[in-house]
Amino acid sequence: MSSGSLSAAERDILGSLADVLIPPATGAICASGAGVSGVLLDQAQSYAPDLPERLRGVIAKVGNLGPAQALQALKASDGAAYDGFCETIAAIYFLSPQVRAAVGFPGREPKPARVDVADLEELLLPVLEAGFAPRTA
Amino acid sequence: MAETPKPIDCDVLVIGSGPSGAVFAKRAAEAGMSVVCLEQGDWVDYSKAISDKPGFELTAPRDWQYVPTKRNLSGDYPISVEDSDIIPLYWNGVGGSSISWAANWMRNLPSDFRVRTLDGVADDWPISYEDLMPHYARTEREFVVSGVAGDPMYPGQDELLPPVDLTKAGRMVAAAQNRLGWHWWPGTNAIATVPRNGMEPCQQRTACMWGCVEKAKASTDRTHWPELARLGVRLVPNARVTRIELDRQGLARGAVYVDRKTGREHLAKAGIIVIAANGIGTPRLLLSSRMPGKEDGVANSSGLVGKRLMLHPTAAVVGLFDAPLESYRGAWGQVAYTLQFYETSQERDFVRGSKWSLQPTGSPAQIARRWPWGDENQLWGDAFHDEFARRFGRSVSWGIICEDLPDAENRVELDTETPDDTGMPGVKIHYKTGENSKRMLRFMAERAKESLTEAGAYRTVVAPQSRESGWHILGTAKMGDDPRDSVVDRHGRSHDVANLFIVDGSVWPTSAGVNPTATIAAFASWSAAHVVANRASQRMAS
Repeated sequence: MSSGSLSAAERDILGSLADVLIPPATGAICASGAGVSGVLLDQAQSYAPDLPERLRGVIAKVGNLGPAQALQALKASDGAAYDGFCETIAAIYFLSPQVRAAVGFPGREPKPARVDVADLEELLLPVLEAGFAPRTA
Repeated sequence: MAETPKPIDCDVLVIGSGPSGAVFAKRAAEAGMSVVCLEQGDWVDYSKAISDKPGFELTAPRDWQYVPTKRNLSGDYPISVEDSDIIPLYWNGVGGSSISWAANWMRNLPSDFRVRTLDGVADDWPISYEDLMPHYARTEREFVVSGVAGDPMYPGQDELLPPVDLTKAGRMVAAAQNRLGWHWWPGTNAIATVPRNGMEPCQQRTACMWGCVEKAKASTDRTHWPELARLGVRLVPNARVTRIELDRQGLARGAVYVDRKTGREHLAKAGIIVIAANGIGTPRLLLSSRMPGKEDGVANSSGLVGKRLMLHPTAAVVGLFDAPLESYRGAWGQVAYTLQFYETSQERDFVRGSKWSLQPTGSPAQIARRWPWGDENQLWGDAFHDEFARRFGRSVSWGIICEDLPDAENRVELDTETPDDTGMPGVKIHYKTGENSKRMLRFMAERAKESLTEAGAYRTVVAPQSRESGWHILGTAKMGDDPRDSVVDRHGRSHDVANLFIVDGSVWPTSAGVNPTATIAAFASWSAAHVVANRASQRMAS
């Protein structure tokens, strides 16, 4: 399969690779448990239709290696590809509302950045009194 | 059948639409000059700006990729970085690298213009902080710069929009700096905090850097080009300038460009040509403009075009705290900065210094990135959940910018074996980190650890020099008064070609130790003011 969604076999491999990076642990959700190779992958693909192509390159490298060995080999041979894969897995993983809730991320809610200068005056007073000045000689 | 573009014959031809090109175009247009801008890339598609959506981190590496070797924008050209310690980062499209910058807005300090006089190294600039002051102030309004006026290190910076949130972590670090007696100041950022100049206030969705969905982070496609269109400036995207054409008197008569939609070549005629193509694009164009008698390219009698490349070696130190700090949110940009170790000290084993930027560590997916954690501090595997919990929402980073000294061996060269699709040579980057910079990085990392520890960090993580950090591309067409050792004069005018100006970071004699866009924009404004004031006596091609 060269386009479209990952096949069931490819998803199995993806799940095993992702679990090396984000493994099962007591009280925590592993990558495959969150749905990185399942429902989250489908959701991710709706944002990034090119995602299967990005992932297939790594999936294909597994071959006869185990997932941990395959990732070690990738890291050694192509660090940029390894980093890209890890970051992609993380981006998919944190699509999960359960995971976001578990780590305490409220989401991308707006919060105006502006603050009043008056709120900073007390903190800035020592800077103003310290005698800092640009160097002239 | 492709439409034949309207021939270009204007007073001022600007090459590049980023901060320097946009500012120069604005000044010239406001003075009544006819202005055309050729931009090798295309407009950004803001339908891809989804920093308010959960899928942002999945699409950003594709749609907002700032590493030119990892992307294939329509405006990109081949670049080889195998011989460079630092990978240059930039954007080729309308808005230039203001599309993919962190929006830290820092004026150079007065001492940055007098490095030779003060420290006996490198060169003085032929202009001063005072020369640029009115231009800093004007461009700060245009780029919706927010912050707190009155930093004693910056005379005359007194008109800024209200600052971005210092954040919980920022307050802790600021208090620590106070206890240490070290300078700090709330961050100045080209990020709107109130509606201004067509921009809207930042909403701190996370610590997002690209594709601002709020229209808060300044980029010239938003802050300048809409108004420039109203002023009658014509912007031609997808126009790759391949060479500057000179007449028999050695004056520039125009620029040859390839319309990348049709593949056709055209000559854009102009009275004055202004190159604003960044510290790599500018030498690439000048060196490519070979002709009989100009075998080393245009404006290169000094032999310095492409030489003295400075890229600001960069490191980071992260502090981990017990307390929840909500550090998944905050301006990126910088919530604060320090200039405590900016100036030369006889007590150190290096000259010049660094500015540090205090930054949140960002969203869950940002925590998984290499920056600012470093190669040796990745979090994958058995320790993932514990380490993630320690980092996420409980960490803050000092980003450290080192002033690197000019070195002729650090350079941009043409790569004739790897041309772009118009046949124009690509570029090779040669850059080795100097010993002075290495010493500086080590010193700064230790001081940054002290700052964060004083703030209450129970652990600090050092990311030594990052390779993907060449945001600041400087020095490859040096400014100076002497044509023998500089490419342009104090106004950016080529010593060799009287109606050719360079206004981007190429012209910097030294790199300073701060983020350069403020001074790049101010210099373009200064240069344009000179051109406008002297337009009656300007020599032009016949």
